[in-house]
Amino acid sequence: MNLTHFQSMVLFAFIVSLGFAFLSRRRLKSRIKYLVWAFVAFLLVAITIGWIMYPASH
Amino acid sequence: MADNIPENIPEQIPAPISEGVPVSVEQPAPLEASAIGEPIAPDAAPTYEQESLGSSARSIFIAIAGWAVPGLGHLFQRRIGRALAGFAAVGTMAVIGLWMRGNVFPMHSDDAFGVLGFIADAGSGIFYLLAHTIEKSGPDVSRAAGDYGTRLIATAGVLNMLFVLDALEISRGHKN
Repeated sequence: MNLTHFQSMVLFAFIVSLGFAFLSRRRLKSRIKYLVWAFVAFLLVAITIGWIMYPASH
Repeated sequence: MADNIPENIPEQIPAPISEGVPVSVEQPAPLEASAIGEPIAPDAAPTYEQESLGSSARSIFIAIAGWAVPGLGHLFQRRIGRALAGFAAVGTMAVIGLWMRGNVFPMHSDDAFGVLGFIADAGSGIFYLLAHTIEKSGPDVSRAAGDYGTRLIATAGVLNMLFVLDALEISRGHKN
């Protein structure tokens, strides 16, 4: 199986967010809200760090 | 009859009881007594020590079960949602990591990072034990995908450790 770096990151972010949501929240609605929030936060932080590191690669 | 008693054996004659003086008669002690001095009836509730011991044994069992099969610790405590989420999350991540031919760290390693990698990987329980069955080709970290797979396998193990800790907290009554 071949996944790109971005696909791997999305998979990682989604599964870890799912785990955190079920561990830290009890109600379904709050779990979904936490899942979405953590997933978006993972992606935003990773993409931001990626752009910060971008000049160093050139 | 009194003539048959040898002279070297002292006679055990009870002390004379004077009439009119109340005498306390000692009751025989119960055969079994708990730590707080109360007799244990056959159908009595278990003591605090017995409950604590049983609870500790149950917690250890739940932790081992949750480590061996992700989500099983929660399933034993009827937390179906967390059990399914734990198994799905850890299983998906570990299997995809293995399919991407990530590195599975062996038990014995020369460097500290290898030991840390083993601890993280072993956290996924049955997926670590069946790693070579799930992906027969073995690891290939010469490609970038293999390197990503190594991270996914380690993350699956660490995530399962979090689920085991959660199951442990629930079994001890520290968490709902």
